[in-house]
Amino acid sequence: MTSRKPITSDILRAFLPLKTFHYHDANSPITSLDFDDSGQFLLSCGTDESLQLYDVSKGKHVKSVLSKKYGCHMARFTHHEKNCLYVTTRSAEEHAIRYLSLHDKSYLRYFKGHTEFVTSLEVLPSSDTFISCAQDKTLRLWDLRLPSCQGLMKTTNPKMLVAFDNEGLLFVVGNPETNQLGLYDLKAYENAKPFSLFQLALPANPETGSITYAWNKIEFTTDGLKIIVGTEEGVIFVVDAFEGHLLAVLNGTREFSSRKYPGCGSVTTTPDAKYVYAGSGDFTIGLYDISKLEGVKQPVDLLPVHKLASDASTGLARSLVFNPRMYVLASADKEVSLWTPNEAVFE
Amino acid sequence: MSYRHGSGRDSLSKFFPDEDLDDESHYAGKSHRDDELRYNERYAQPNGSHYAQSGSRYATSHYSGSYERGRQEPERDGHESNRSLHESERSRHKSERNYNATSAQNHYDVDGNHYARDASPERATRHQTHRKELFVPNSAKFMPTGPKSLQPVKQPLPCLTYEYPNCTEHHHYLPVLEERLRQPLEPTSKKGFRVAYDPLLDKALKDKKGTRIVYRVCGESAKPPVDPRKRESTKHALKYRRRPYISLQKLHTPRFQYDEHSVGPPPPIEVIVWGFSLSTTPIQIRHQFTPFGEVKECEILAHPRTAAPMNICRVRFAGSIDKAANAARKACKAHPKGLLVNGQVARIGLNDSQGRLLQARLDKLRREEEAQVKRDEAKQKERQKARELERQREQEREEREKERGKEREKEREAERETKREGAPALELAPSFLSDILKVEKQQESMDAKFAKVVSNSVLTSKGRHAEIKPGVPLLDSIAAYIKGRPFIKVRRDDFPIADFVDRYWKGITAADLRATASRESYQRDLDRDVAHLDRYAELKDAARKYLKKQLSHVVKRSLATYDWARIMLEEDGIYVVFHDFYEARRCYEHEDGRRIADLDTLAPSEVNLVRAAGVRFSGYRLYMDFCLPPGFSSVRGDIVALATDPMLKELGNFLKRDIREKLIGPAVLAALDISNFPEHADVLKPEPRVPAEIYGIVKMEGPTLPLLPKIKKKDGFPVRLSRHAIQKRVVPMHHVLNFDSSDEETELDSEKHTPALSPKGPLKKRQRIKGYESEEDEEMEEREEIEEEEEVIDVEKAEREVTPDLGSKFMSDSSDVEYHTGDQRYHPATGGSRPVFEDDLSVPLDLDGLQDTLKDDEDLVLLKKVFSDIKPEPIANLDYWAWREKQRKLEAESALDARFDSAAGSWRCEGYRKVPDADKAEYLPHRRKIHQPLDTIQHEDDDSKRGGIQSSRVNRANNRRWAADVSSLGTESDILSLNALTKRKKPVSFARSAIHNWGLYALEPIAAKEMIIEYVGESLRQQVAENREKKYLKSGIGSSYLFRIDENTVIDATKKGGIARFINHCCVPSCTAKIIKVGGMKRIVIYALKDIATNEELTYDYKFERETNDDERIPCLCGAEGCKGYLN
Repeated sequence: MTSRKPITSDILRAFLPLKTFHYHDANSPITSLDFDDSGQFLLSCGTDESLQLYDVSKGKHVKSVLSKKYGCHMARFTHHEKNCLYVTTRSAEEHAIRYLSLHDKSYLRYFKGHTEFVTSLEVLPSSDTFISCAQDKTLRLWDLRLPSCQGLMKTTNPKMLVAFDNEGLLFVVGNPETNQLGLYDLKAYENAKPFSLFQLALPANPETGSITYAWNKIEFTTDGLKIIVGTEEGVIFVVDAFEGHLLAVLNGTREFSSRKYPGCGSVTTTPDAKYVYAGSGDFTIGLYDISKLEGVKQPVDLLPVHKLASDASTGLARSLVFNPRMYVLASADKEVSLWTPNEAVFE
Repeated sequence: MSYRHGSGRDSLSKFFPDEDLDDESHYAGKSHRDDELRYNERYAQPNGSHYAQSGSRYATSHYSGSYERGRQEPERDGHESNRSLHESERSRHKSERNYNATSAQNHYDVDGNHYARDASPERATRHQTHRKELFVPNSAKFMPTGPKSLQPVKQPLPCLTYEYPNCTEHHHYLPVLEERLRQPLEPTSKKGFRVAYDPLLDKALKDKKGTRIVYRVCGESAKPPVDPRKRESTKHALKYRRRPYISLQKLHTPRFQYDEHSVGPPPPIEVIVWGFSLSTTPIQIRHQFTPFGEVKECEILAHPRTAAPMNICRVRFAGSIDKAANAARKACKAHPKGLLVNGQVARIGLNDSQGRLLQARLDKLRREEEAQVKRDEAKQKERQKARELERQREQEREEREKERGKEREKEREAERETKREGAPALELAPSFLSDILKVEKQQESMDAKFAKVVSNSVLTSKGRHAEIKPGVPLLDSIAAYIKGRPFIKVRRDDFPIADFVDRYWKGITAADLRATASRESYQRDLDRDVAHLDRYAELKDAARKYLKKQLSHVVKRSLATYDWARIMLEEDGIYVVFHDFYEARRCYEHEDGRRIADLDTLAPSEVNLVRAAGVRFSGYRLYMDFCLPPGFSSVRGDIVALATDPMLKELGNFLKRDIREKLIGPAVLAALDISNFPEHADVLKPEPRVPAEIYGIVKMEGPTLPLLPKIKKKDGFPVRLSRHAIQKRVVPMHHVLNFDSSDEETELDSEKHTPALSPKGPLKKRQRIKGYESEEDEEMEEREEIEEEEEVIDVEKAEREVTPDLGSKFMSDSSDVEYHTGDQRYHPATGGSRPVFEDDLSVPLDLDGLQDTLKDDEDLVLLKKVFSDIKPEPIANLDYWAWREKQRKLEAESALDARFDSAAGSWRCEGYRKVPDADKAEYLPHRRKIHQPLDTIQHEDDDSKRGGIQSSRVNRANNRRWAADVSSLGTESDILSLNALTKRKKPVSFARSAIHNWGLYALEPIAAKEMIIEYVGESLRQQVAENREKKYLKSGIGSSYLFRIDENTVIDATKKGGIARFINHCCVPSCTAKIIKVGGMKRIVIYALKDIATNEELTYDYKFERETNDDERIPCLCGAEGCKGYLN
């Protein structure tokens, strides 16, 4: 690893796919991607019921863990090295969330409680708590140390999305049907009353005309000022995290061809909270600049400032994650690709 | 067990005296409790299934956890449920005291799990003891037998009863139950809840908050939620939490390894170098790149067509792609502006996987070549055109000449006629007439000869169609000057002198006329005119001469670089005559067609004149004809002549000399022999004055080298011819071979001569040596030969020395002979005889000395004579006496201290007595103190210089380069792999040591911090080393030669290794060991801590680990001042 270089638009434009891994079974879609805290490891899990671990600093595949018994989805790293949480996909297995040590491929704990398919799993950035949202209209908080649920919240919609903020003080629950974002305090959520409820005034989808979208990701930016909402239709919304009004609408990415497996969203922000990468269905990744949205009253229409090009061998960027500490962008559809900036841009 | 609501509280207090039963802090509120208990009641089911249900949840974790805890520390805290024991129930429970033991058969724990009876005897006993308390949830099977009163009426909830004095809190399941009981069962998802406090998680708060999990249920609190980001306490709390994820402004750049998953082309591993000089070798270029990484190949590309090396080189790095790419990138970064190779700056660049850079360079080269070729072609075409033009002109000229020739003939005919008529001849006529006539004659003769002679008269003309024309018309007058030498002729047509003259004349005459013009008198004019006419002719003549002079000046100047003999300006052209054929040809080749040198070469005065005259020489081209007059012998023939000439001369000389020496000389001598002139014997001097030559003759009868001519001064003192010529030292022949020629120059005075040949005069640097004795013939002659370059011969001496008897013994009155040559030791001895060995008369002779004086029989005889007058002593046994004398001497030498004498006369009689070390040092050489260096090492060559202090860094760099060179020869095996450390080794040697057995000594002084030697041995793993250590100890090798490099590697020099193994330990060491990496491998190297003198023992601190067992400590024999006494 070399010394650190400040993030600039030039570097972000110069990303090239340098590695493509085909460790998942051929043609089995990959449903989630996650980097760990240090940015060194990448975890991908796919419908072939395996988890693949990659060492990103070298660009090598490290390990493959099979989970044939339970299936896997939504694999997330915890703050302990090489431990991950993932959701079982077999309904027979009680929809437990399993805590796996990737190092020795053994389970550490099962978190049982949900009765339906878990759609969302997020780990609190500052502690060992994590939150899971399932289709049984509940949202559960857990602590890694105890298998019992630490908190339960009833939701109204089975298709809710949840995300933590960057400091670990609150979490946001997004309701795609009502275009609402509710912010809940981690210390007082049991009443199921958010301290802030944002009603988003989303523009109508030009094709379908509806104002409801199929959300597939919610994310706070790393400075905690904006919330990014990614949708299946390819539009991305940037919402102010304090006031709740729509800051920007990011257009220009085409939606992906549908597949029956869920994903984890194709939107990701850079660690400096100024840029957003969004995968597009036409084998490109669009780069948006969201740094100049302070004090915006009307939602701004933004187009990508640059488009990174991939091809069929590199794959679509259905799932997209940016490394928290390195200039690496991971994209996955049926194969995992690692993008890094062209070395010439650093000279 | 039964749980009772509320009533059992007081009963509990007995058993838990210290507990504050009123403490309800861990209850959220009564209502909650009520709820809970009601829940319990409500959901108590006959088969206790709810326990089972929840049990499954808790079985793995809570149960086991609390079970453990229960074992160690029984929970003493009050449990509400325990408190719920009611006194009214006491009676009931009392009656259960005598609970039948049979129910013990069926043991159930809280959760309804069946315990095996023998699961644990401890448990079983415990179970048994308060079987009574156990109230088992029911199933028909497990209905307790016994008195009816004891039979449960309904399914009671389990409850603890502590009313029995023999009930102890150590019962294992009690705590479990407590645990279990104290935790409210998780509400099913009817409402949302939140765990506000969990003792297992927030252990720090356990004291404050208790051991119950605190839930906050939805709807409980009515506080409106607050944005936590705006809460003040957040910022403070943040500090103590694990740092959350915040925005980063700088990121690392990863470097991916290139493998089969990589997308895109592989990184470049090749570097292209271009722009270096063609004399560069690949090895030089390789050297420049080896610091960055291992170079796999380095090749200078060859031109595709001509296979000549181009100045493009390809350097490829070895290793994995990433390593090579790294090296290549580093190399290019390090030399952005170019690389200095072989004195020239070459450019480098990365050649990517498609080799684009290389292609670009090759293309560029090719284009340049093509351009060059085109240019050449263009030039050639030009030249051809020029030649064509020349040819044309030449042809035209020829035609013109022919015509002119014809015209002239006609003219001449006319002239002849007119001449007969007496008309004044034209200027040009006479010479040409004769010319032509002669030419005709010549031509006839030429023609006649032409057939035979090949190159009689060669005429080549460059610049035009090169042609050889025989038979050039040559005026006699000119020929007289040419004298048969090669010459170059510049034709008149090209250089029309007459035109010049005319022009010049015009220039002057106008002025002149103007100057002289006057209208005063017509008569005068007439006269003047007439006079003018004469003058005209004169002037013209003068002008012509002047111009001729100028022209010749100019021509001479322009041909100044050529060694011409003569330049003649004639009517028909300029003749440049050369002595030497080659010179002529050179001039021809270079100057033909060239313009005359510019005005610049003229002197300023001339320039003005010339300018004034309107004449300019410059700009005219000299079209030359190269001519060889008839009779000029061909070049080839000349060579033989050239070669043989000097040889013949030499032979002639030799012949003359021989005749002189061998015929004339002896004859003359014979004639002059004194014996022929008896009447003049007294008049004539004994040594006749003989010219030096004769002396030379006389001396040498055999083959000798010729003598150089001798120059004599007026006063008779011959002078040395060449002082500096003498470099050799004069030494008698049988000593010459003792010295090498390289040992010369020991004698500063190089002008020494043989003693015999010194003159009397006061010349410098001469030694006067008196006393000269007979010398041998050969020596004299040899000396002569040695110093043939210079002979300073005093004629008188010569005369003296020349005696009819050619044995040439020199006269005994050699007092005036001076010896100023040769070494003192080789001079003949003077004075009386001296003994060879000087005896010290103060010391009396002993037997040995006496025996020594006898060298041969004669001496014995003489000695007997000397001792004849001494009375012999009566000695019984001479042999013994003699031997005794000698022994005495020996003993005196090796006499030991009295301490070593044994009373009994012999040590063997006395038995064993240990000689202390201090004493041993006296007579054992290797026991002497270590700081007195031993002389056990014999130095063969004391004279050998141990090299000056060389810069070791430079040395090392040189050695590294050399080693890199050698290893770059490209052998597959590592036969030629060199151990670079051997180059830095200092000269050390092992010898007996005062410290222990053998030690390592420095043979030359070593400066501090210098590397001395590498500790070489077998490289072993840790485990192998341990094994070996044991083995060696077992087999008796007490010394340890194992040296640790790092945690896992040890060097063992016990059986195989270098001489560094001999270095002993000292508590005050002179060296230290360091581990350095050479070529990627770790090596142990011994460095000097302080300056080490010659013959000093090298020591260093072994750094053994401190041995705990005092018996096994090894005593240290170093004898240093700071000695610790033990090695470990």
